[in-house]
Amino acid sequence: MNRRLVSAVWSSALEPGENRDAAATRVSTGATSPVAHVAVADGASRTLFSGLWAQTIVGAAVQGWPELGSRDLLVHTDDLRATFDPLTRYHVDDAAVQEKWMRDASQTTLVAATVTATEMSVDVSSVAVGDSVLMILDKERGTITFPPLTPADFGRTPELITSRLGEQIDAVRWEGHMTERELLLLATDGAARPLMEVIEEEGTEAAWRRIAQLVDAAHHHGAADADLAAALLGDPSGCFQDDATLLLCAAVPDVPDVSDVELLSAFMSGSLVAQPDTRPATRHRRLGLSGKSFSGWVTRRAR
Amino acid sequence: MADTVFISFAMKNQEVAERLVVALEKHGLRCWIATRDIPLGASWPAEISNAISGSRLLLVVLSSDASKSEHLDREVGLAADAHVPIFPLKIDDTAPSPTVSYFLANAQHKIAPSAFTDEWAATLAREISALLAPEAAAELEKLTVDDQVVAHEPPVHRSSALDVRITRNTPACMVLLVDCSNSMHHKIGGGDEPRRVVVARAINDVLENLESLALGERGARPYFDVAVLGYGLGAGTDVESLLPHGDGLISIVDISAHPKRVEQEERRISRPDGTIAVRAKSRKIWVDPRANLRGRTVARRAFLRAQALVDNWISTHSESTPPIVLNITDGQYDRGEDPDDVVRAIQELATRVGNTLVFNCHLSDTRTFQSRSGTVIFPSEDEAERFVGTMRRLYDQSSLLPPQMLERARENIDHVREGARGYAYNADAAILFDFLEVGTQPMAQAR
Repeated sequence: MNRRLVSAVWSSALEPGENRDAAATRVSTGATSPVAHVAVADGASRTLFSGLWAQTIVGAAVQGWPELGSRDLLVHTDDLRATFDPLTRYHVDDAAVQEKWMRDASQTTLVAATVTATEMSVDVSSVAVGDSVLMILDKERGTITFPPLTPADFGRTPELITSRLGEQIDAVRWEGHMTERELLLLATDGAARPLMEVIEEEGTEAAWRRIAQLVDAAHHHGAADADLAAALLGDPSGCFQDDATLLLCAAVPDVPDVSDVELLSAFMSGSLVAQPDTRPATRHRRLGLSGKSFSGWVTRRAR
Repeated sequence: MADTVFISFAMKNQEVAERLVVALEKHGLRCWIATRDIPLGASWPAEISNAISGSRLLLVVLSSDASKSEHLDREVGLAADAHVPIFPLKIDDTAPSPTVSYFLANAQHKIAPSAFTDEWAATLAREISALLAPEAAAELEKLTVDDQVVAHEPPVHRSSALDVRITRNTPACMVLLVDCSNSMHHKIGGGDEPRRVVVARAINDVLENLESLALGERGARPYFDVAVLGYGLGAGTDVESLLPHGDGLISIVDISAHPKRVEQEERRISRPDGTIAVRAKSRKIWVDPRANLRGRTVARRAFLRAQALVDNWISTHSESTPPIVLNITDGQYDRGEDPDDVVRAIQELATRVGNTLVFNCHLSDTRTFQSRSGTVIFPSEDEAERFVGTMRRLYDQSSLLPPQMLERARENIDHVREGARGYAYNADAAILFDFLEVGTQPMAQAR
């Protein structure tokens, strides 16, 4: 059984050109199985250069941070801190900017996950600091949320990774599994909060439906920031009150030459069924999304 | 789509909406409901807008959930704009949102029974069907919102949640009114400094904090519009800006760039890499202590000026967090200078987020402060029962603390309860700083 870990990211900035969220994805083949390393971070808007710090952190986190112990996590972070000097990098000579950064440093949340699709299961290990969250959505079984936050928990002062050398990191960890029916999401609070509200008020299926619309829009039209807000807020003209980032990841049957978003779209709409095809290749139905057939896998269209 | 009934509802009322659809469609009426009729991948705004403008009737399901739905407000507004008749159906006792109330001010609301049965839905379907018949055109016309109503933006009087992020497009507004009458020369209770000196220091701290909140990597961002108005400065200049650059509301960008002077002090700062930097800390001074020996407490004139500033500001910042007017005074108003009616008018000025807040801080004198008996901060109604005279009047002229400010007040002060107002009486320097910290708390929503 050939499987593939597909992913997609949307990020919406509250103010153009000032998105302090960051996301990173790295997919490797692994020894025998595909492995996806994914991370999102939310730079604290009250601190300077927090978007750059968030980018720095996610870039490092997809190098296996979920598997690090607390001590190693601090060592790796301190390595980044030692060289993180935005004042020099950007030749900042404004004394007020220098002083604010020296006083507050740069700060960010983080949630990172390593997803390994083995022959028998899809394993997930994750590390999180603050209120960026990992969710696993299953239309039938509900939702797993890590860290276990509720919508009411957002807007408070979250734990943060600062760029201050030696400062402790209050990280939490989670390990588990997901099935091939399930969708893994990483979200900053701007996206996680409305999504959790949908789940609380209308159920996981409604959240799935909204995300499916987003993925479908991405596949057909190239989804824009507005589509992310419309999908998660259920409001066509809605806009977030914060930067918002949503990263999706799913284990799906591999189909060469088919894009991740196309596969995600088929997966979300239920037209991609993870069962080995026993029929002759000539009888395979076409997915109909871009005229490509899913060789080796049965597909069905959702009606 | 000409005979279609558009169903407008909050998502929590989806079940009711879908039962209505079943009943109406059984009766031969076509319905349009977003959960069913928006094709996968379609543009939601376009679909909803087209569906409303092409419908014969918009049936809006009103409920406690609906009253919180901006989505539903927007659909009702679109129907009003498109002259689509609106049929309001109440399924509980909650008053509609201010926006819906505005559009449906003259409409008769249909009230659903508490036991919402399919039989009742069938009766409603018959009624709507009859309404859409050609002979009922005049009745249907009555449900159309007329142009005069649509031409004006509805006033919104929500409780001030103040959870709107402050950005370049949605800056915040603060008007500080400072009593500069003769008595501000006197010492503040519990201290040796004149009140005017303490007040000037507190205001400079507030401005410095706002400047820091607005500071981005490339300098100050236009997140705040601030006025600092002194009153009681003497004949001909009863109310004037205490800021050195400009008159009235001034962007924090300009305030930051134009201090009165910069004072230097040395500070040791721990850098993020752990090393210590000794830096000459620049402290900007925008406001100097002011008080006029012949100045009177002309609060009414000051509030009138604040009213004009706030009214004008709101006209171009309707999506922003509501303005805050903070009044710092130490005495009774002069004859004819009670601003009561002006304060009420200011509190009626609203953005879409909420109404303008007016807070008052009364400064103590040494004698009354020593007893401490008359000192209050953020009192609620049960405490205020004993207030008389100026103490009571200032309380009545102070707005309720919105939830976030209440939370902040409770972090700093033990006894603050639900229903607390933005008010301090007989305050010393510490209470003045607490008051200003809580009173400017919404500014921390700067992104």
